[in-house]
Amino acid sequence: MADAVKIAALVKDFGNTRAIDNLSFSIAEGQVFGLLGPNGSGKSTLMKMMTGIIKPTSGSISIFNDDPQKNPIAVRRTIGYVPETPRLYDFLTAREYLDFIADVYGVPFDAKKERIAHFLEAFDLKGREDEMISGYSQGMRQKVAIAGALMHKPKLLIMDEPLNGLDPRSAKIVKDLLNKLATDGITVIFSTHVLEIAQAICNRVAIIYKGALLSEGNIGDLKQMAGMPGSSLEEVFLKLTGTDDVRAVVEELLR
Amino acid sequence: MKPSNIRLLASILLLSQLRLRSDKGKTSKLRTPKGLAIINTLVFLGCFLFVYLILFAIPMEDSLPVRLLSTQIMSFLPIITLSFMILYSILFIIGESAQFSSSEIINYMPITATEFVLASSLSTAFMYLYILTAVLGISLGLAVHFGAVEIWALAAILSAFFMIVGGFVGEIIRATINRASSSFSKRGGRSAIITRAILIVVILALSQLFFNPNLMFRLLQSFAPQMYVLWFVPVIWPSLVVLELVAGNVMWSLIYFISTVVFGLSMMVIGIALRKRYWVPLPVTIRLSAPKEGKYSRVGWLGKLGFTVPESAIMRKDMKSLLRRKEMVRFLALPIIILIPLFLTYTGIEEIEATYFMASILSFTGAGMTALFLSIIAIGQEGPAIWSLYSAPLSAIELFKAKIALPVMLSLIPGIALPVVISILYGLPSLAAFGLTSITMLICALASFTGSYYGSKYCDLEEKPRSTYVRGTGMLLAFLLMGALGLLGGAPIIFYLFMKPFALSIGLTSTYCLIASIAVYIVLLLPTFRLASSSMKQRFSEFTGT
Repeated sequence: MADAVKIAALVKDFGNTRAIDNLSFSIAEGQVFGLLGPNGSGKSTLMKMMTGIIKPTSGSISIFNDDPQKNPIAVRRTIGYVPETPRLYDFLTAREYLDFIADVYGVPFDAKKERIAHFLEAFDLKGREDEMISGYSQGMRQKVAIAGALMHKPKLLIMDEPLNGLDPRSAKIVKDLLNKLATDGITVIFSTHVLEIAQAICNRVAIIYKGALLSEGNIGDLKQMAGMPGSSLEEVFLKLTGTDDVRAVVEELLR
Repeated sequence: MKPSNIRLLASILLLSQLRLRSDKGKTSKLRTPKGLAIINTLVFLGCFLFVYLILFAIPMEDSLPVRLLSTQIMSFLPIITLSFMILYSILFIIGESAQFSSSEIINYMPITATEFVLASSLSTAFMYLYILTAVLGISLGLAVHFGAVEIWALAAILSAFFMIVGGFVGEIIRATINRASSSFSKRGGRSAIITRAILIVVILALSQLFFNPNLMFRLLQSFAPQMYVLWFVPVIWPSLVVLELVAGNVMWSLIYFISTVVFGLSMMVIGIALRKRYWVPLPVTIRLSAPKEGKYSRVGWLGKLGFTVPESAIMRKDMKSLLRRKEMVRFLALPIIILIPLFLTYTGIEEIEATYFMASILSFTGAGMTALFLSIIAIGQEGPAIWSLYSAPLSAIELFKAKIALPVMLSLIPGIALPVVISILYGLPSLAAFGLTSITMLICALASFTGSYYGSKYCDLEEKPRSTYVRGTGMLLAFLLMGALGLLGGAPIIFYLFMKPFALSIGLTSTYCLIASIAVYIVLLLPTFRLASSSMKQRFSEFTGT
């Protein structure tokens, strides 16, 4: 299977801080790829670089053999992106927002109408679609953002913490959606702190810590690499990132 | 009620007001309560010395009319400070982001409504203390010169008190507007949005009208003889305290003094009660009417003008932003706000050159400022939601076209209407009217390009309680460049108007000078367009995340 994403020797510095440190890996088409890592490990920066929003300091990224820096428009046409805590235009209604996104991505009129109606239904937004987003809860905003990312039928879906703020039903919808997208050949990259979800739906997982790749492979590979074949992904994650010693922190907090 | 809570909260609220005005959150020593106190002291001393020295230089017999006026000025000090406080409160509330105020951490802290209202009023009063220090400095100059320092001291105490009362009134307005806006918007939908936009424009226009120094002075002059007739109006009471004392009626002065204090305290009680009742401004749920199958946009008439589907989508979105966001509507009110003081300053000029000059100033400023402001905020108003545009398959050219076209199109409305109306009002000949209209339209385009350049270069995408959308430096530079370009293009006409005999002697008629000015403005369009376009491209390619 061809690669949807290829990352080689990628580095990103923000002043004196190295956010991404010599990352290299690739993601095959149709995979559901999980990016795991503690807060501030560089996941969001990496995702923004994939969309071309942030320029790498050095190294390269290729999305379906296109460079997001050299050919950002072509790359963005193939990508659907949901940032962490997406900020939407609060003065638009959900329907207007999706209409706007569809127009910006060049979705034809009839397809736009059909897809918006479909997403509003699927994400339980029906009945509130003509209310301004300013009155929406975080979960509803997240659903609108996800619907917006899917509006133009992207070949690659990049989602930063997509389950943030979603209720169990909506979270289940998103999880099923990710699986369905993968069977349809759409590549999905998402970051999450919920390791059970990564374990349940990811074909492959990369663990990033302080901008560097600690480990990459399927869940079984990761457990083998960590020398913990019988352990959960959470235990593997905590061991690999060196953040397993949480007892002292809890005790300190409770003092 | 804990006084320490009030003191702490007042200083935090003051700091937040001081810092949100700074560029990129940089703090300077002047942007601290101490810095503000130094500025206020300097303003007070400067105003005092200025008036005192001027009066010192004038012979006593020539300054007699000023002596009569000085008592009136001192009696009006509390009303002036209260009026300014209310004006600033209204402007602040209109510019305030509802989303921000509903999520402010202060709403969830163990702070009582009394503590909040007192702290907020004190911080607002301290923030705008320079108004009080300026008027007190001026009036002290008068008082020292005319030997009325004790009257001045009383007026100063009453003004300081009314300054804080202004803060209480601000709190009452904030709570009422938040409540009214929520209920109104819930019921009204699309019509509520339009009504609210019109209301904000009217409030701003009235504020501008009422607080114009020219008009205020005339109003006060006409009110002064009838002051006692208005004894039942609470805001007049502090003036009556001063006037009764000057007249030697100590008892009445005391009665009005007590009434003033009771009025101030009742404002505080109402402010606290409203804050208690409407503690957090609720995020408003506004439902817009739509057909059952939904309303979807088509490229429509914008397509016929040559705009692509994404470009027209961005333009429509920005138009909705202007109409629907409370803090954005003020930009639509610009032509009116700018024109009111200019019209009020105009007191019937008889010379034809001066009439042309005034007509041009009114027309160019009204339309040009609208274009400049609408274009300079075009990128910044996206705020953190700009990721939607940056992650979309949009080219810099598409974004530039959409972002420049809307300010140009919107500013062309006053850009055509203003010169036409002004030409009719001033009875300008057809050539002058044509020239005025053409140049105003060109200025709209020039101002849009200039605004777009600085707006994308110095855009401020941060979400603040009162967003400015562009950094102060950008705004200042845009004004300077626009002023320079305006003068450069207008140079031939200015030359003709003010050096007419010489111009005619060398064969330069008004028509030639008009054509020359139009030509210069047209030539200036190209470099400013290029500047704007390159700046937008750079902004688009250098995004580093927000």
